[in-house]
Amino acid sequence: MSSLLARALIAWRLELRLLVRHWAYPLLLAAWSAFVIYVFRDQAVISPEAALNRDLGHFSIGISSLAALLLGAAGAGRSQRTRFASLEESYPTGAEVLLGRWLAGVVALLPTQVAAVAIAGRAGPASSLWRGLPTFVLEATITVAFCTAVGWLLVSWLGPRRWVYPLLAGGWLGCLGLPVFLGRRNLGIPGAELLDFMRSDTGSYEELWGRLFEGALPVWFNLFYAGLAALGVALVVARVAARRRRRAPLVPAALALAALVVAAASATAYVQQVRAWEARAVDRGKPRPLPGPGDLATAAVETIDAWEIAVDLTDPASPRFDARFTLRNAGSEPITAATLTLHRDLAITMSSLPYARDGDVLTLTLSEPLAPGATRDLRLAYAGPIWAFIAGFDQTPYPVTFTAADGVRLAHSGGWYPVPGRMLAPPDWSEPTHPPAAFHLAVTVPEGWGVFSNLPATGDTTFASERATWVVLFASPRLRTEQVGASTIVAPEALLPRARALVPDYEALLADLARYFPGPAPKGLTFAVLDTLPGTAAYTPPAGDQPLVIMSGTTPRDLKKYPLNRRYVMGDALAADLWGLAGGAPELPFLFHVVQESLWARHVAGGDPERFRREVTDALGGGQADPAVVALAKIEARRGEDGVRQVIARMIAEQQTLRGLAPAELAAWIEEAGGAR
Amino acid sequence: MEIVIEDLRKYYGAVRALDGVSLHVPGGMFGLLGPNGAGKTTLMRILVTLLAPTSGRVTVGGIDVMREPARVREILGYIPQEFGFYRSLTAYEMLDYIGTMKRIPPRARKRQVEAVLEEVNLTADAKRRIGTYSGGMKQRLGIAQALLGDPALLVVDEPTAGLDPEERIRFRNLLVRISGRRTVLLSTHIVADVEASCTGLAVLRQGRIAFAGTPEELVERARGRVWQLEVEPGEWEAVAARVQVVSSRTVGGRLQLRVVADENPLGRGVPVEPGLEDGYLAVSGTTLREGMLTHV
Repeated sequence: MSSLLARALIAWRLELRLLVRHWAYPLLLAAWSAFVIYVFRDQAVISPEAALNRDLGHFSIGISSLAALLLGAAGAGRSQRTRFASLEESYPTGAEVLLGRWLAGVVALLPTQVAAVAIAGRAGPASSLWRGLPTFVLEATITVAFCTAVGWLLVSWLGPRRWVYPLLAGGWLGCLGLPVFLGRRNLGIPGAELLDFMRSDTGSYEELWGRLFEGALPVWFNLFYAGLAALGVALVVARVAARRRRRAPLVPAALALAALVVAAASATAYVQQVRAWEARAVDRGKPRPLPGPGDLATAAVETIDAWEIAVDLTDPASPRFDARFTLRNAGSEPITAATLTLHRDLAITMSSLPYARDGDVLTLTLSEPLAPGATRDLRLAYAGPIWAFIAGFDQTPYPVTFTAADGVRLAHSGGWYPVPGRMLAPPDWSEPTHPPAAFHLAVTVPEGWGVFSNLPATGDTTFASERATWVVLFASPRLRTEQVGASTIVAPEALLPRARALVPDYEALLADLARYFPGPAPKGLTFAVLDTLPGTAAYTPPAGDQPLVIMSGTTPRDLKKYPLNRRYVMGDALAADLWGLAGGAPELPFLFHVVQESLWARHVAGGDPERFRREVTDALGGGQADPAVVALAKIEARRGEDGVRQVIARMIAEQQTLRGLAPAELAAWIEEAGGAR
Repeated sequence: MEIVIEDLRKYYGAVRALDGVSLHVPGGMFGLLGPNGAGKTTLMRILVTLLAPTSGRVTVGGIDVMREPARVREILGYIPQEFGFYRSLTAYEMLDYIGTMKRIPPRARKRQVEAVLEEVNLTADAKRRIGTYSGGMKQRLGIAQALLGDPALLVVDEPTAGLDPEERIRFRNLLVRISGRRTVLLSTHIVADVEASCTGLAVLRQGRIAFAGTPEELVERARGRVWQLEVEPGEWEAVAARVQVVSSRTVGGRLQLRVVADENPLGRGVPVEPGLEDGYLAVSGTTLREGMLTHV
């Protein structure tokens, strides 16, 4: 070990010792840890990696940044405060002592993250913790290094004055609101979040995708602050070197310049990505006239009766698609061209017909006119990366459809397969995409990757449905499929235990609700816990003969504590699929609503007649009741569940004739159908 | 080790802390005398590379202090006027750290730390935290750190200020003992410190050298100008205004004064043998009068 390194190491060790053995240090750690624990005492943690990459981790790093500013200033001023500076400066040392001492400040602050890691670790599993820990520690180190460097720089320039500390604390507080003030909702400066050195933004981590859809932003962000930290230290070194060596500090100045270039280049790259995404999000997400439910079948004269699509995700960032589909003329006149929608990013490599493209609109020129009702088999091969964005509530652009090396998310309206007509839906539209049709999907993925589609699985990576109205395809190395009894769960690895624990609850509720529907009760369900992005249809038709429930990755762990969530993600989801499996049409929500309300009230009451009455009579809140729901309750009171099942069966059988009935008329119909009149 | 200072100037705006100082220190223990504010500490800080001069040149053993400060630091031991240590460390730990900073190899470092602790008589207290040390012990620890690395030049700035008489004498003796083959530059405003230890000295006054030579030469400057006389207490003010009073004491209700003056004061002074303090006052008094005349 060279003498230089030895001195740096000894200086580091001494400074670390002085810091950690100071009476205030354990107090600082205890206070910081207690604050983190207090703030997150009741907050649900999805997984260790999620916790470290989102609120918990960012909060912990954020408050540590304040400690880093103050500790950096304290460390920088120690020699002068203790009057050791004049001795120290007479020794034949260089920048190595300063660097060692600064680094000790950084290391001394890392234990402030222990509380966050411990809280995250409790959410298990360990694999998730180990996966999230390196990035978390790296980001905490960068933030702490930057703040410590700022503290050093300030004290080096101004001297170890007492007012430096309140100045730093005030500056930190001021910076809390700076990104918001400068950001999209106020001054609208692109990339203003880059100033959020304390990482107060909660981050865009998803258990399934990690931080994939932040793109390269975290890299540029971290490089920017690493560059600034290096710049700060290099400036301090340059200043000290100039004073002590009496010559231009060429090496520190060159390092400072290099650090400045890194920071500036990173900032530029960051802003460029934000701008590019914003531009695409605005483009794809601007308001368009939306077709209403049921209008899809008539939205275009051409329709597709069957798809057979092979998706090759061997190179996930740039997938290849081979689509065979049967086009039918659903209009009354012959057509000579078919208008389809295919995402503009996808490059067509082979087409069985000549084509023209205009943005997302693909026009196939038929070799001969297609008569009304006639069909034609077509083939289209296309490939390439595909990214579609929406603007979040704070105008932050989020990709909802993307193909990346670490995951593929093909949302149902992302235009990843040719859809008849001009698909008017923006990417977050949650209604079905096209009229019911057969759909066969075969996917090739890299080894170890999991695949999910809303279609019933026919193999590990093959899916098929005869009545698909929307199709999504998710593929990720984190995605796992597991069979739990009669049910199938699909979730990121870290969420599997949580999904597994919910299955018995779902199955019990399914059995409870299924008694009221005609036909055999489904055995189990397909239960997917995915992400929090839009891009799946709100109404999720059953996967084959099983209800399909897609739950957000951030849904609370204990649903019993949150009745509204429980009703939405359990009761309503299952009832909707049971309705669909029994033949009920999804586009008649007023009918389904009656069944849904009544069954949920009954489930909540759990056999308590008085509570059931209260739930029904207050179904609309404020003592208001839906007369149709009250009518169905009357049937149950008189004829038990057989009576209700009979009414629901008739309701489904005669659903088209019930279209347009007023609530009172529907109530009368229910009473009549249930034999209450 | 020879120190050569040529036309050294240090200005702080309009204030001339050093104004054309030229001095040759041949080696040995050399005293730098001068009242507070004479520029001693400024000169010391330039010598030990902590401060850059406005102009002039300083070489230590032939090494230019301004051009090669890092090389000067390698042969330097410095005890500033005011200094401190990390209070939570023990003397041994502190010296071990400083030894590393002075680039002493690990094996030699342990031996040297123990040796300097022994030298300054702190071995028994080496494992005590510095925060518990008395002022004298801290001063001795200051010497110990300066001795680490066996520096050829030791620069000591006002070392006895704030020490009690016993500590002062002990400290002075220690300096003499360690001076040995080194050059020791001792800055002080206490003449007795120089008198007891230095082979050469310079007097600095208002940023300029008022005298440079041996202690004996400084004493000679006062020969024939030192008087003892007795005065009434009421006469003291008038006498002090005309001559420099070196000392005074009350004897039988009258004041017995020792003064430096070119002529017999009041015609009733008795010439006495001069000492170093008289020489110092004689030199600085001359300078003072010259300064006053210049202003007139």
